[in-house]
Amino acid sequence: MDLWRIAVRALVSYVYLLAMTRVSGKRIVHQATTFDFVVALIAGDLIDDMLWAEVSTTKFAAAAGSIFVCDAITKLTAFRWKAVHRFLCGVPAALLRDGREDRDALRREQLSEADLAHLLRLRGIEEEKWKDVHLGLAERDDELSMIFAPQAESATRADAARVKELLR
Amino acid sequence: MVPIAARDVPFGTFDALLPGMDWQELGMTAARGLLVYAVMLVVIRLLGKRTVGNFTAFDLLVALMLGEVVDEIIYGDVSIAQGLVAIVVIALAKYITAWLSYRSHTLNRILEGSPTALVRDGELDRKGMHHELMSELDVFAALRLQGVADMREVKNAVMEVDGQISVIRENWAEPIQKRDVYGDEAKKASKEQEQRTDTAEALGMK
Repeated sequence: MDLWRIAVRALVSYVYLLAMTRVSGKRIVHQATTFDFVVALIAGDLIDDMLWAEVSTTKFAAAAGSIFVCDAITKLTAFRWKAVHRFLCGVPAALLRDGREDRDALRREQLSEADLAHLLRLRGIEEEKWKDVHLGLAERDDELSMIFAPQAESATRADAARVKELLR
Repeated sequence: MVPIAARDVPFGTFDALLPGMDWQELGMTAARGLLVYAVMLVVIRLLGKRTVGNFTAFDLLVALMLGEVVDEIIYGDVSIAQGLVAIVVIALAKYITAWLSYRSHTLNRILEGSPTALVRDGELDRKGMHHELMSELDVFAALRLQGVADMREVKNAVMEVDGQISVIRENWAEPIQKRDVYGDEAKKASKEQEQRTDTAEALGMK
């Protein structure tokens, strides 16, 4: 029976990938971009051939290792050079400016108006309140960040303190 | 495919520790890994932000497909040309459907579905819930996750095409804004605190 061998292989690959992900940094899951996700998929996908002994352990180690090394190098260059960062992550695009959608930006991001409405709804903003948004930015990964118009910024403790001061 | 028993390495798992490793093949594997990495990097980037992220189940599936294709390429089970054809065709098909659904509302609805109302004016929408197979408990859980304690706060809750639930609150239930504190003076009040370090300023969009 080769069952024990499969078990050992499973364990070895598990430990190897665990070590690789720890070495390559937290970012692979946190703030995961699409590409980080695909890298994780590739790494996970390399395992099964090794488990069934269709490839050797060393070949698996070489394959997964080269993927992770590439990933580490890419992230390092993106951190060092702005141009590389721009290519990999793109530049945040202003989809919404002072309540009006920017059609050119939407087209560049391949987002329809329905998609924009969807992104804003997820942040609790219905169409009649779009004008409260000074800037709606498509950050990396489809997430929308918003800078609100001055009067629509959330009130803070500082504001409460001022009001208290005035009432005194 | 060589079954384990037919392999000449006695302990398949630990062949790394044994002499007679095929360094050339290992080098080739690493090189193919590098190539695949570079190709995928470019493909995902060209596909744009919509490839996966917060979008639909199918977007996720495409990412899975692309990820699943490549192991045979890296291990050299298929030729690089064959692998590249598969990657390019999947990516192209994805690009075309994304473009089509961007162009046509009808196609967008067919390909991605449309949002379903779960709560309207503080009342559960049983029809929408049934359609999405969301029980009362599921809806309440989703609302709790959005910080809703009282159903009356909810003007609309919608199951979006990507499975996320968006909540629009009644006007009275929204958090306080500067205008609620300062009224028409709100703009002036925020200008007074000019010391701010604007997080969006670096983008040059102000």
